[in-house]
Amino acid sequence: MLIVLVLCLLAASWVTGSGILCILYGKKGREAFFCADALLTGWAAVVGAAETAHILSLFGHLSLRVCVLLFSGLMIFLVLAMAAAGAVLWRKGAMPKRERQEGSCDVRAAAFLVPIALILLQAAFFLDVGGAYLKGDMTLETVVSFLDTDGIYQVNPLTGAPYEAGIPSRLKILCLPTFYSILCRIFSLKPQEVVWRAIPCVTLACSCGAYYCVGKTLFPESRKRQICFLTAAALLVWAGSCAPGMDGFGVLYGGWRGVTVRNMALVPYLVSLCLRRKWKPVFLCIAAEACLAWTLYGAGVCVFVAAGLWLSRYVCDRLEARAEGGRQNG
Amino acid sequence: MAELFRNAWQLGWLRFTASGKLPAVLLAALLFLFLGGGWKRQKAFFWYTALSALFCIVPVTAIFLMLYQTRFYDYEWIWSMVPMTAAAAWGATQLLEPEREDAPLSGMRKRLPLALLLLAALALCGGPWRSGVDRKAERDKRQKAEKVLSLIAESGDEDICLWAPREILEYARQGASPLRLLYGRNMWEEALGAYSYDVYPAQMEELYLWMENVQQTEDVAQDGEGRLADGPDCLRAAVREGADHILLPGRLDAETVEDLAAPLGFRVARLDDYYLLRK
Repeated sequence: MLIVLVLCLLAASWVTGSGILCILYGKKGREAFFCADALLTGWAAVVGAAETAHILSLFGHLSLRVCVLLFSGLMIFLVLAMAAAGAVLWRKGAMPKRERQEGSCDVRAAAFLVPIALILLQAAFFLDVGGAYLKGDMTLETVVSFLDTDGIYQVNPLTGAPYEAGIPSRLKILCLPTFYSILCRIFSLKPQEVVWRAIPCVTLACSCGAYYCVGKTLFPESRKRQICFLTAAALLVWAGSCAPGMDGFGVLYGGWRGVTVRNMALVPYLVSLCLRRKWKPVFLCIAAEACLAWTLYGAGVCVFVAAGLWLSRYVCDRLEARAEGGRQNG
Repeated sequence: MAELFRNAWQLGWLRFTASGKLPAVLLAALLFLFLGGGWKRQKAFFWYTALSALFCIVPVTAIFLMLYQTRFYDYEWIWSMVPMTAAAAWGATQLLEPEREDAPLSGMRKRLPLALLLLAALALCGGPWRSGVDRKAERDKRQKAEKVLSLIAESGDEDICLWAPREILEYARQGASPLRLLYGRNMWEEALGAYSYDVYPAQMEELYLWMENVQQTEDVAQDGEGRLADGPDCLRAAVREGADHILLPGRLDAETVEDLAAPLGFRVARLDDYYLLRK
């Protein structure tokens, strides 16, 4: 059932994301995106659906059971609507011709095995080690308390007693514990299985997609260099598992945390979008981060990175234009 | 201001680089890209990464970034704004797969030893063996605690409120049937205090210190800070706070445990490596 959950989440994300990109850019624009773009855009939309169900249930004082129904309804609508939109828009034009890249198919396929093997090793690592590092995190306790009380933030997850003074609003509006509780209910899985095993698999898949996008953006002309980039990124994730706060540590020891999803999926994806000047999905990433991790009233890491890359690009373009103008005058 | 500076430098950058050298890998990659001309491929990305890394290192700008990300996060999380993995992987790719066929390091004969050298250098910079997380010990602790918790749950009592040593309480709210606790992990994990406005009364902290001292020293007449703490009084205070199931270390003398349970009218039962006192 764990595998079914992971595959369902990835499939729903991909279908939803494909439809969203078709709507945002039309069929012609959609061709400029990769498969991984659909996965990550769709994942942001799934988080948005979870956030909607969470907010309605929280402020409407609805039970978790009703929240599950809300989320299920939203997801069914989203997937069907985006699939229909994508199919309609796709049919309006001819299929695009794919450019052949350097190297034979067999060599490219074999070379891809290296980063894939490293990534599978990472999955094996956290499937084995799940829950070994919980300092500063209480996601599992929160999910368990939601399931136990059939409500959202009815009791303090760490003691089981009702809250006296309450919790910060900026924490209350984050949707991940509710999202995981919904998945436990829908797929009849234990909280530990969903939080420590299934979600880190999804985070790892999204992270791979994000770095795939970055690799294709940095090296569009060479599949060999893209594979080298992915391999290097996978090795750096291993090396970065030495201390909390590093990317690798988040993926291998805390793949369910909002900060890990942000750092390993949203931020690299955002970088690739900014480098390709695809600004519309950037707002989805910013909104997704606000639903996943504590931010300064919505202004988090994604806003900083997007603004920084935009500014950096603007300055570089201006300097290049000035240099070009100077050369022409000279 | 001094505290902010200390958080950004001493407790921030110096501690961040003590456990792993990935920031050094990033700086080396950026230097290589700059000197090799590879930075021109994506100037905006290069300059953003370089400047954001610099802002994270220099204490003055690091303070602003820490204030921007709010006090909810520690220093290391400002590095989320730096695409460390992507930039370092970019540098590595430029080094191992140069653009020009006539570049000095082209050819398998030179690239393979270089790749192995880089791999060795990366392994020295960090890896799961430096994380300090002992998976086996953690798994054993968890399994032991879950065994005791399942025995308590099987006792048939409803609406249990448990007071136990930390090694048991740590896992009591993570199973499918969570127990109510006198205090939770936020008693000893300061970071979890940020998740709620609720604070424990001073007496609760004394109960925690007493229980941990009993767990370590088997001395029921003192708390961990050398203050005299009457064992029966501590138990009475716990019961007043709502505890109806109390777990004490099994190393205690049986007579001592009976003397503690008697004034409360509690029964004593042996449960694995513990004594369970309940109504």
